Amino acid sequence: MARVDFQKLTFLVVEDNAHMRRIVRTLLHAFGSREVYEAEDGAEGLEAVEQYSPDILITDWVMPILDGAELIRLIRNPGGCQTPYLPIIMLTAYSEKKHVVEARDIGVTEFLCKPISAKALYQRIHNLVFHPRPFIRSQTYFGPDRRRHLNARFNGPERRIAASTDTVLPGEDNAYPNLTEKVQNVA
Amino acid sequence: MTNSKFEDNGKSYEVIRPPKTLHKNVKGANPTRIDFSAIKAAEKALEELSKDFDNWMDDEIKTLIETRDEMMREGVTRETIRTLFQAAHDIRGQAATLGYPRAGAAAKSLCALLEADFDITDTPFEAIDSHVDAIRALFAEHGKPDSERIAGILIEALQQMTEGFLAEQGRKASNG
Repeated sequence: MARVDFQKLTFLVVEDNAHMRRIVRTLLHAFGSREVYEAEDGAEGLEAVEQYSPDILITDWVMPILDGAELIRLIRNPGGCQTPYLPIIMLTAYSEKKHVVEARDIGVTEFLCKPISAKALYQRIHNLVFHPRPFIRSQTYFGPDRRRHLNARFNGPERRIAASTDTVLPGEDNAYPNLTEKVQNVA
Repeated sequence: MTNSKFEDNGKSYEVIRPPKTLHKNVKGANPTRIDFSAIKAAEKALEELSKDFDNWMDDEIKTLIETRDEMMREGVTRETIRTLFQAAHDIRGQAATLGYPRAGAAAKSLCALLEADFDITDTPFEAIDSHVDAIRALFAEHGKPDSERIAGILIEALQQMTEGFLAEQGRKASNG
């Protein structure tokens, strides 16, 4: 099998702990990435997002000054940040359900619990690259579609399909060619 | 970029499809397969880095003890709890990667104690102190004969201490 090469993917790692930054950087370099930027807290991370426009952001949750959750809220604020669609991996020691749900609801794309492993990090990046999700904007939420899985037992009306006025602009990639099929099956 | 607007039970929302660009930056890509050679390369790199892990863990434990000592001097305040929580949370997240999962489990119990949903300045210093001493001992005694069995007993005792305290606080809160 051909080696998947992440050489051209750029990452920003926002993590206050220098040891953990070193571990994440080592893994990303081993995956092939050469551009790995770092920031020590959310405030510095926000500046780095604007400065470097990384392809993927990996952020810790608990940090001084501005924590990871606050950073993500600022990024997912469409009026406030230049890159509201930035793919974000939340890498945290929090493993409780309430934190997973909160992360999902503030617009995290992938959630990864510490302790970190090469395989788990690789899988999250692979998901971001090859299985991106559409974004949803409603009165109360802006972020990646929170419905990851199809619900085969759903028998109700498909309101999204019925109301769809979907168009693809000429010359642009359609990132989600199978969305219609997915929407037909989600609860 | 494509956008679609929908109505669902009177609430409107929009489905936005940003241009798919990340895969263009990946060579040799096969979206249906995980590249295990990349994972193995990363595991090997981590193994080489692991020569430093004992020293790193030692650094983390020193930071935890310093923050505990600061709390001893200045009292259990929101600020000293915040600082100690950050040190404990770092150990909770890293200890297993650095080869000390038992210390990580004890740090998790300490985090639960420090992150409780009530006036956290009520947290007894003795309970915090016991956790910090236990984390230090779990690090220092790691790998010694019978250390796994003793570590199990110690962690269970810490978890019971934390759960008992949180339950007591919960009862107080519900009684007004």
